[in-house]
Amino acid sequence: MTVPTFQGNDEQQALAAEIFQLMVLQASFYADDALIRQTLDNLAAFLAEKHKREPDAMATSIEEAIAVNTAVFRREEAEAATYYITTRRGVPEPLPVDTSHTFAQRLYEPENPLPVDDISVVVSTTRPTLTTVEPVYISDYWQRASDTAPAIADAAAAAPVVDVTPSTVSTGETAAAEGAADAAVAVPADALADSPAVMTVAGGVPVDLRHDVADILAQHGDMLRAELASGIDKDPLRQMVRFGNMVLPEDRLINLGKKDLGRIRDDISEANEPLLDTVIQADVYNQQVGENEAMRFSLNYRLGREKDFEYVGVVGANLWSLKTLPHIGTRNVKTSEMAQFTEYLMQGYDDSLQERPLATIAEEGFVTHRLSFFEWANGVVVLTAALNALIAQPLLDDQRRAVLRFVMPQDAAAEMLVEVRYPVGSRGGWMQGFDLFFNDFLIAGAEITIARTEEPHVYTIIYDESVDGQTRDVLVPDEKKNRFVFEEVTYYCQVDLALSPDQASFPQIRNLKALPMSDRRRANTVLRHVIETLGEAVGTATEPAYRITAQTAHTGFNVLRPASLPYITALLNDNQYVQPADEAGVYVFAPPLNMPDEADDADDTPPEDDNSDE
Amino acid sequence: METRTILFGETALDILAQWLREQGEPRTLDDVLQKYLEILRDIALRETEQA
Repeated sequence: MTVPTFQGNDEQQALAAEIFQLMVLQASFYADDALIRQTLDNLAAFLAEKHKREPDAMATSIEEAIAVNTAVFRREEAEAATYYITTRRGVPEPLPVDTSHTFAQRLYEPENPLPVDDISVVVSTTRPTLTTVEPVYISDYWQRASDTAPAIADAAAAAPVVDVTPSTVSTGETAAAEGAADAAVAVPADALADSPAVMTVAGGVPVDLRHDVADILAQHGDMLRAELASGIDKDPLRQMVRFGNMVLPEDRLINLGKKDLGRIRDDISEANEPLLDTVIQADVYNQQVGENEAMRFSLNYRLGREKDFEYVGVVGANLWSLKTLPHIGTRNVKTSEMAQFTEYLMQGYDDSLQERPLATIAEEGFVTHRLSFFEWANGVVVLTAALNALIAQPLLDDQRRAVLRFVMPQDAAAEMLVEVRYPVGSRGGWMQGFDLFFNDFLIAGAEITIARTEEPHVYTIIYDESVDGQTRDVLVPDEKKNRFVFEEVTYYCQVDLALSPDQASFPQIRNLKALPMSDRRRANTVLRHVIETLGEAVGTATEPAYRITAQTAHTGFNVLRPASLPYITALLNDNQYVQPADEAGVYVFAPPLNMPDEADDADDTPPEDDNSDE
Repeated sequence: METRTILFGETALDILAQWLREQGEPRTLDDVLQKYLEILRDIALRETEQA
């Protein structure tokens, strides 16, 4: 703060300085240029008492002192009193207001703002419904424009426009024929550059818009569908929102508050199983199916962003679960272990389509599957290509599991919930939760038939009971002693004996060790144990050797983990200590005496972390 | 006259959103894709004529 210089005689200067200090003290928290006001009466009363003088005389002295210091004080006459005005800067006038660039002006910049009917893209009139921060994507245009200008020209020359004509669109033609057709109807590169009718799809694929929409869809439908979904998700203005394969304008979303979520949570908890969105809508909002589709969409969209809700539906049936609902299926096998056990399905060893092709399965809507010992004992069914073609697919891009309802017509139409784990990358899929049904009605090797119903998340499961009761000593797990034993069982279902080991056919199979699941991850370790247990010893004490058929190895292997016969055959052929015998389908395993357990599994996948839900 | 580049997934999304608003309820991605291609095609053909 600057202290002004006061005028007048010594007494007047001292008094003016004292008054200034008083007024500045009064305005300690004022801005430097804010006006400070004080009345003559107040000043005279205070200073008279301080200096032991008469108030009137002091008032006269004050007026005289201030009259010669008009550069610091301004005098104002009001009806009731006389005011003296100054500022902390010692100047009795405020600073002029700077109006060169106001907030009001900035509101109207730039000169051509968005039109009023588009203001919704800038200012939302609804409360945000999201609890998570959504990323703002930068248009791919800038990325492309920055460094691909020459590349586009090159790409245009190298990758001609696909000219979609009805004659080239034929779903029955082979891929090779389609490729030839694509190449044959190329448009010159210069036409690409000049024609505004050619649009660019992400990845640089040009599509000629001069053709009918139906033709474009027939040729590029899948790619364009994926690109449009991506475009909607990445739109920085977020004009539309998407849930699965449904789209709604963002401003049509209905907000769900915490109370709504609490009621939905209670609804699912009370049912103690995943619920359809239509059921939740009816329970919580008393709205019937089709009555308010925007509400149904909003419900799904909002729940999809809540961490304690989980989508477990499929295409055509939106099911919602809670993390707190009971676990479905076995806990004997961890998710990561099952994922590894089923890798053979993704490695080309899936033989499930040998009997019936995909088209037949899709048309007839059922699949017959023979349970391996492992599947029967753990209540799981591996998701072979045949079953994967039958089972409804996940709706969401990153969805890994779904919950299906299986009806058992042979058990008074009882129902059970089954969890589907879809294949991801190199890992196969499976279904789990059949434990009770398998144990109550079936044995290993039983033939089951799974069929679709009209509802996409409901299936039936039956077994062929058109056989008379059979009694055999079949292999069963003795979980208390962690081993396998034979037990006399009478059953009434069709059984594949190759997958149903019994005492008569495989008396040594009960000597198989119930290896820990972590050890079963190593396929060659399991195979070696199976061969040494079930194979015929043909070597000596110093040079051990075992003779075994691929079929026997397949039966024994399936006790410990699931596998197809082609997979077992491949394992045998790839094993350096196994040689084919003279007879077809027979192998001889001759391991070195000091062969370590892990030596034959050096290339196997290392164990991975479990899923959090285990 | 300057013609604009049509970028699939970016160009005319506002027109598509307006059409979707007029529908009054959610639509499938297939429906939206069909309409989007019609919109883009109209733009492309109009600009071709003007060019």
